[in-house]
Amino acid sequence: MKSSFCRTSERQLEADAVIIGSGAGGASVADVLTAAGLCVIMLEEGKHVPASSASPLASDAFAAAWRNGGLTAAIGQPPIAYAEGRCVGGGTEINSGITQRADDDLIDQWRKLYKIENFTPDELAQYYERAETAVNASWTPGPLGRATGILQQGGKALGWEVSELKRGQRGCKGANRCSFVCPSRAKQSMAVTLLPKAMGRSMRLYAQARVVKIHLDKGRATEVTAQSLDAGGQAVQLRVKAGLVFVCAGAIHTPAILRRSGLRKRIGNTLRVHPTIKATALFDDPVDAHQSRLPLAAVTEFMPEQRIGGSVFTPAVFGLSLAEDWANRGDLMQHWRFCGSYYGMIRPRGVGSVRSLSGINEPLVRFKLAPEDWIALGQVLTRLGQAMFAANARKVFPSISGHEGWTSPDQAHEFWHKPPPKRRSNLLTIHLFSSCPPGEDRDACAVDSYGRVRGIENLFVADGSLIPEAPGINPQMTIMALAFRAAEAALSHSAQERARSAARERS
Amino acid sequence: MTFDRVIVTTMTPFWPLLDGDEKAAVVTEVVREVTRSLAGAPFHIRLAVKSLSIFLSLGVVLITAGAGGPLTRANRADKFYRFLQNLPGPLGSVLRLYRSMTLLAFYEQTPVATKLFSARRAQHSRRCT
Ligand SMILES: Cc1cc2nc3c(=O)[nH]c(=O)nc-3n(C[C@H](O)[C@H](O)[C@H](O)COP(=O)(O)OP(=O)(O)OC[C@H]3O[C@@H](n4cnc5c(N)ncnc54)[C@H](O)[C@@H]3O)c2cc1C
Ligand code: SF4
Repeated sequence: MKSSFCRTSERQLEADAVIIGSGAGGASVADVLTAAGLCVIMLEEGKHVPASSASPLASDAFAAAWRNGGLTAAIGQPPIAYAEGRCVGGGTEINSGITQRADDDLIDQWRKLYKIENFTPDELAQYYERAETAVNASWTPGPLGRATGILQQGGKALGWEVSELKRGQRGCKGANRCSFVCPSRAKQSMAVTLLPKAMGRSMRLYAQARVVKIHLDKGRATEVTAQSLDAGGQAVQLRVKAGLVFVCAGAIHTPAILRRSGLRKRIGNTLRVHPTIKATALFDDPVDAHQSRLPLAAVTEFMPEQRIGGSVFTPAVFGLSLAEDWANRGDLMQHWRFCGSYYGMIRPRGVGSVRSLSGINEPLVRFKLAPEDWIALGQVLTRLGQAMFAANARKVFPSISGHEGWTSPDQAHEFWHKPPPKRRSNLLTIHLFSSCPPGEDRDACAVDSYGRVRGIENLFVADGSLIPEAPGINPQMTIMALAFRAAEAALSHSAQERARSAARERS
Repeated sequence: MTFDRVIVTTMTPFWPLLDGDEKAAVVTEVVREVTRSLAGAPFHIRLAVKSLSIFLSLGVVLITAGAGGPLTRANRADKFYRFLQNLPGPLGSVLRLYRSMTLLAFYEQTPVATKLFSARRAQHSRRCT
């Protein structure tokens, strides 16, 4: 079979399995299926952005590799801006490659709550190991720089646990370009690791092929249709027939595809994210955050409920962040070398939803924060302010439009007892999950314990949608672990077994 | 594009200082960049931007008519934006979007970036290549 990142002019395709989406989940499924000798077709909506064409400019990178150029938001009060990758490799091409495992207690809690079979920390360990090996989870070589030092200094001065973060990297060269697609292939994203491996075996990857619908008949997924372009750039429809269908389009688009295909029960009703609030800290000495790696330490004292960390920093991205209150904060741009950009992230109790809209490509995404989430956001913001002052910040500006900033740790207590203002708080997230939670609790779970969609014998979910709830950590390793597990289970359960289970579920 | 230009011009920062020709070229590039970014936005955002940018740009033209230099024009436009930002509804979000796109594109322009970095040229800098 031809192995290349290709556009297509073909219309009818057949394979043993079709995988929708080439991100963390999709690539992991491809690894398992191709290792077992299956002939696989992968359909990816985005383009391939090779390292050689990775631009150092955020605006180019956003246009090439981020969904909608990064202009996506969940509706709510306030709206939560979210980011997803849309390119070959999905989110792994634009993420920081930080690798973490979910907390053992949370895994146990999820197993009990959702009645997930064979889902203990010990049982998941082998899949985590496989994920960590695939991306070479390791300490980044060389000095980490002042931007990381600020978190270490602040956290330690307050007596908090601060941890260095391992990353999926090999010979990382240094500055902050991970979110713009790594130009040196040092970041061990899916386009550098599992995708070429799968294509070297028996996978064909079709880039710029957007799946519209999965056709279902008598409890089976029979065909996948996608819109693509032929060699001359003309629109062409692809129809793929395959024995196994894996939906790995991410926590927003997996439920959107399933719902468009007529599968709605419990699908897309339980979206979770990590609501995140940022703060800009101004120091007396230069931070020069653009010259060092992105902060590779985090305050882990309050994890998994809350985490404090640092963000990618370039002068332009910093300028962009000041847009939330340019009238009051525009002057900070003149001191950009003395500024750092940090965040507080929470594990929310609130839930969101994903709905497909007929005639429009983008689904409607909503997220409603629970009252407890506002308390947690106030706390994490306070802690973030304290950490910055403990690292000798002169002034700290929470990401609240119209806020004049704090000049002392006492002032940073402003939101400890009262939540931040809903309308003026600027929230974002880069972590999306839980829109199709697994388990045997049929009232709560969209798919069975191993990701098979209820009532359909050969249709599986294997991406961020499968993480039962917000994990409070960087999710890529958990997504890969669950995708490896789902693909192995699909291969180990016979077609008859699956058909019997699906028939029982439909009756 | 015309509406984008009116809005983006008033949102382009004054620092770092650029000379006349340089500034004109930079603004043209920034407008092109903002228009490109907006074209890639989801449908509902494009819809909001399309309908409101006409109102916004006409408002800016009226408010800044007769203002002497670019600084006075930008100050008047800023007051107008601040007023709109406090109103309920999507206007504030559209303004914020224009501001974000303008700032990102502006600080990525080569002459601007060169000025931002000029004080640093002598120092060692590590880059991903
Ligand atoms: C800026 C940023 C930084 C991050 N940093 C980290 C980090 O340091 N560590 C970490 O663990 N996580 C990080 N994450 C999160 C992590 O990257 C994601 O959680 C992960 O990539 C999600 O994997 P997934 O398989 O669920 O979806 P994705 O990786 O998003 O893959 C889904 C793919 O499906 C494609 N697709 C969608 N719809 C269709 C369709 N209809 N047809 C065909 N294809 C479709 C998409 O284009 C995409 O390529 C970060 C994310 C971002 C955005
Ligand atoms: S810091 Fe630079 S070299 Fe290292 S992974 Fe990120 S983009 Fe690649």
